[in-house]
Amino acid sequence: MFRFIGQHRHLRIGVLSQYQDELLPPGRRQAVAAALERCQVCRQELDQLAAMLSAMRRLPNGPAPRSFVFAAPPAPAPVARASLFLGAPRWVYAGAVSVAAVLLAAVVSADLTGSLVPQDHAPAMRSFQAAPAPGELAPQETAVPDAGQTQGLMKSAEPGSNGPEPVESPQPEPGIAVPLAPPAQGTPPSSEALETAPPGLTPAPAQETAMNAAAWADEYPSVAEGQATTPLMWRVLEGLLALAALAGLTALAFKMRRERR
Amino acid sequence: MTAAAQVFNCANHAPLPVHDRAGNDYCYNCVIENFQAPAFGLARRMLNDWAMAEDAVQESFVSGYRAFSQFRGQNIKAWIMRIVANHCRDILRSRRARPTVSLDPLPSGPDDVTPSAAEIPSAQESPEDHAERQELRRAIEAGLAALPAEQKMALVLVDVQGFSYDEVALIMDCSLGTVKSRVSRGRGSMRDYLRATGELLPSQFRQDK
Repeated sequence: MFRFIGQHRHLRIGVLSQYQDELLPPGRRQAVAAALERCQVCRQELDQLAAMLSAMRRLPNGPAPRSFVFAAPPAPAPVARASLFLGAPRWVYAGAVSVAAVLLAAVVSADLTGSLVPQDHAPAMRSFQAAPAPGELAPQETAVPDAGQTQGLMKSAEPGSNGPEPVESPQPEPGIAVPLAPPAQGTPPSSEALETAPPGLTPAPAQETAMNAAAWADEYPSVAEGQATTPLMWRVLEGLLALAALAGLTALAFKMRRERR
Repeated sequence: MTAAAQVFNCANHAPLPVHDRAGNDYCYNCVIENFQAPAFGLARRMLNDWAMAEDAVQESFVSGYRAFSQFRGQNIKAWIMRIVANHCRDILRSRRARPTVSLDPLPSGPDDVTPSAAEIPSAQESPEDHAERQELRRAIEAGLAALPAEQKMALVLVDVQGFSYDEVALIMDCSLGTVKSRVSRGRGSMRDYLRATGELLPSQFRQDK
């Protein structure tokens, strides 16, 4: 309400303006009137404001230069041609961008987690991701089972024995490495190692690596070669969604710019 | 015609019936005759161009005719002035986007303008007073032209054309507080402008040193 000039408090132009227009509430109006009585500078300001307003009200506001009345009713507004580009309301573009962005995020996250790999490739990918590198295996994991354990297991795998039925795709257990683990680079598979290795058992590290690489590569050649782990269709879909989001954003920016003009 | 239209008279023009949203009948030419002067005054001061102001008012009245069925029958003067104000805003916006330089000498107005009552010296006024008043008028017009568009519109509507704050809030499509603020700031800028060019103005506008 007040502004400070030197040691005096003077009324601001906004307060004086509202005081002049009688827009202040009664209590505040009385306070301003009291301040005006005390301060000559404020009174001078108010006088100047009043003189200026009086001069403005006397500005010529004469008649229009010509009559604007219609001799005949104006023609109806021309029907605007629907624009194919940027014709839709703004929320349509914003919504399209949002939907495309959400779908893109979903597809990309599914791709990163390996959910888009086909069913026949999925176990290979899972084992590929789950299996530790040969060099990282803990000693007890890479250790060859003792002779008795190995024999017992071999016996259980023999037909006609009383032991449990042989498991075609054994679950990874502690001490038994996953047979489909990827091979270490530079270690070509050896057919001899494959022949000597009993199914479901972990051979010695070198032998195990060679056997796993060959089995893995035979069963899932495309995965082993590092090609097309995610089908091309999903890649194309990701690209299309990204393009749609980008196009929607561009259209939205153009529309906002056009509307600002 | 219903009671709403009977406040007008169609002596000087052909009747042009229109209906508002509530079904009241009006003669649109009577509406034009009643409000064309303030509409043109606002457009001229907003655009600082006589010919553009004429075009703006004409187009505003055409827009008003086409949209009259949306009028809710509250304050027809504020409604018409709102259309004019919006049209002026559009022109100013497009002018800012595509600035043009007029080749005509300024100010661009007709030469045969009849002097208004404010310009005719009265019998009680001395020639010096008359000259001083004219100088003040020119300074105020120049100060108005220098104001930002929204402050100028608020000041023209409130202080020059005498609209109430509520009506100006309707016309400018903003809150009452915004109108008060724009008017206060506009008056402050105007006072500063008059003080800065105060040598030829009445004594009350000269800055005390």
